[in-house]
This record gives sequence, structure tokens and C-alpha cells, in this order.
Amino acid sequence: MKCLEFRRLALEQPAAIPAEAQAHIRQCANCKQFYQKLNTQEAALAQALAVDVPEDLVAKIMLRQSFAPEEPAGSSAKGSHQGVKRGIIGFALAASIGVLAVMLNWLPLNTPVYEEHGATAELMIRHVEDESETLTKTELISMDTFRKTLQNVNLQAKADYQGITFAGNCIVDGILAAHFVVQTPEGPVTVLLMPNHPFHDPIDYSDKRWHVAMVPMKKGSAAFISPPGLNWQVVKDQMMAIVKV
Amino acid sequence: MQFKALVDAYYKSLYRYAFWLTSDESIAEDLVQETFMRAWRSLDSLQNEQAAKSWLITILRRENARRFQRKSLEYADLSVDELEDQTHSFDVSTDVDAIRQALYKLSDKYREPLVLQVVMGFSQEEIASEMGLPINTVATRLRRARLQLKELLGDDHIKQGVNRRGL
Repeated sequence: MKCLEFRRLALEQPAAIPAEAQAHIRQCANCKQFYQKLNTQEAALAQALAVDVPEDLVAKIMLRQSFAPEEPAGSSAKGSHQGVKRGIIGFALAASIGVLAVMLNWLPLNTPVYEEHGATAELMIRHVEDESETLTKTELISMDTFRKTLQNVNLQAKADYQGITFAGNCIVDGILAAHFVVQTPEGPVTVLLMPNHPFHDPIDYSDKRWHVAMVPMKKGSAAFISPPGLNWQVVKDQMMAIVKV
Repeated sequence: MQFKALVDAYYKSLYRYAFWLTSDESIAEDLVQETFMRAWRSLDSLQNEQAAKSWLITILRRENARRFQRKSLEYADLSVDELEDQTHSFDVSTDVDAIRQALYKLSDKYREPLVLQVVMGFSQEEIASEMGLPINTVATRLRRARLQLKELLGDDHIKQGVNRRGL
């Protein structure tokens, strides 16, 4: 093999040069040096191409998949999403009614109040999506963690609450909140307890992927964010009964 | 193939491919999410697990093409300086950063086969098949991509060595 041919091959696929090319560099010092430098730079190139991958990307993909209305025809690749499927059917029905209501001008979509509610709801959604990995956790947290998370926002637990897979304190709308994820057969419900968040009016907001309900507590407000069609009221009733404000 | 296994196996390389295809972190993330959603919907059509990588790349490239059909994104108007701002989260050495800047400056036709080869581990035959190009064209583009990189990096020891010989 001639040097020209070797260098062509090396530049086309440095990681897998053929045996004939390998034999050439054993005999040609110039090409050997060329190939060593090329490999050094190839390693740097691989490092440069390996940009950081968002840590929550898998969680976001799995979350979207769990909400997907369509499933593969076979059963081998499926998970257990029957509950989610029911939620999707409920969402489809609700969406149909929503479209009809808009057509008939039943919903005052352009009023300032609705816009303000929408903005608040979207703030809650953004928080949930930013921390979407919290929705895919399956291991139950301890009740000690539950209590401490409440205590950090000056709330108390009157009893244990089963089914919580995430608990943490975070800033929502500039205010410290207790953030929980409760797993239900229909899907996860995110609960944000915000005793220092002012409450104005109840919010009941839905978009394609989320339903947001904001309700008053004795002090401040609580938000429940879930896939559309899910029976979040059960979680709300239980949480409100257990948490002492 | 289980969907989660498919995601775990390919999300990183797909994201990196999408990033270098679009030069935008958020568009890359959207593309990868959409790719896996489409893959999920037609998972049963994946008969051969060995073909999963090419299958996902095909979906992603189509999804990327749809973005242009929708004409909803104008990232191509961004200057290299603006793109530089998007790399703030990279924790890299100066050398790596310099290579990334050089990669931004490569034309798409040279950068894409290079990324498919280095990030996805595609052979020249697979790149040719994916991009609908003759294999000789792929080989030429890979060669020129590396030569242009060296030129952009101001590191001419390889360039000099080959240009004298008419590569």
C-alpha cells in the first residue's frame, strides 16, 4: 500500500483501518506518526462530540410514553398502563366537551381572570416538568421524610400517608413549598403545598397533557397536578385530611 | 425489544447526534423525545433489534426534516457567537471547546456523516444508506470533514501531510 492510499483510508475511518493499512504503518515511519497524531485528535473529537445529555431526559421520555394514547399492537413491549389508558379516555371525553364549550362560547377564554389562572397553572406545570424525574420514582418514601418535608414549610402531619414516592422542598413561584408525588392506579399526582402562597380563586385548568387544580388551605394554597382525566380529588381529600396547617 | 431498554441503550447517542444536527440543546431534546414517541407507537415494526440504531436515526432525521417543513424554527440564523452561548454548561477543556467551535463551523454535509460515524458508530455503508448517498461520497465527506477540522483548528500537521499528496 502506498502512503497516499493509507492516508485516505485513515482519514475516512481512523478507528477501523484494514489489515493492509496496519501493515503499512509498521513499515512507514511517516505514516505511523501521521496515524498516531490522527488518533490523538480523533480521541479529542470524540470527547468534543460527547456533549452533556440532560439528566432528566429519560424521565421525560418515559413520562411522555406513559401518557401516550397509542400502544404497540403486540403485548411484549407494553408496561402496565391500563390505568393511564382509562385516564386518557377520560381526557379525550373532557377535551371533546371542552372544544364544544369553546365553540358555544361557554368558556370565557379571553377574560383576564382566565389568563391569570392559566399563567399560574402553567407555572405549576413548568415546575412539574422541570422535575419530571420525580414522577417516575416507584419506591415509597418514609413517613419520617414526609413529616420533615411538611415541617420545613411549617405544616404538620396528623397521620401517615401511604403511596408517596417523592417528597422534597422546593421553590415554586418564589415561595418555599412541600412537593410530593402520590402514585395512584391511574398515574402520578403531584401535590404542592404552599402555605405562604396567596390564594385568590380556585383554579381548574387543563391542557393537552396536564390538569391543574389549586385549592385553598387554611393558610395559603395547595396545587394538584396530574394527567388529565385522573381522579385527583381522592388525593386532595386525603392530603387535606392529614395535613395540619 | 422492551421500550425502556431501547431508551436506555440509545438516548445518549441520539441526543448527541440531534445536538450536532441542530446546534441547539432544547431542539435536540425535543427531537429525541419525539423520536422515542414515534418509536413507541410503532415498536412492533422493529423486527430486528440489530436494526434499532438505524431505525431510530431514520425517525429522528425525518422528524428533523418536519421541523423545516413547519418553518417554525429559525435556528439557522444564529451566528456562531450565539451558538457559543449555548455551550455554557459544557465542562470541557480548552482543546475540546476549540474542537466544538470548529465543529459548528463545518458545513452540515461534512458534520453529519462525521457525527454518525463517531457518535453512533455507523460504518460508511450505514451512513451511505441513511443519507441516501453513494459510499464514495460518504468517504470523501468524512475525509474532508477531518481535514477541514484540522484547518479550522489551525493544527496543520495532518493537513500538510496529506495535501501535498493531493487528498
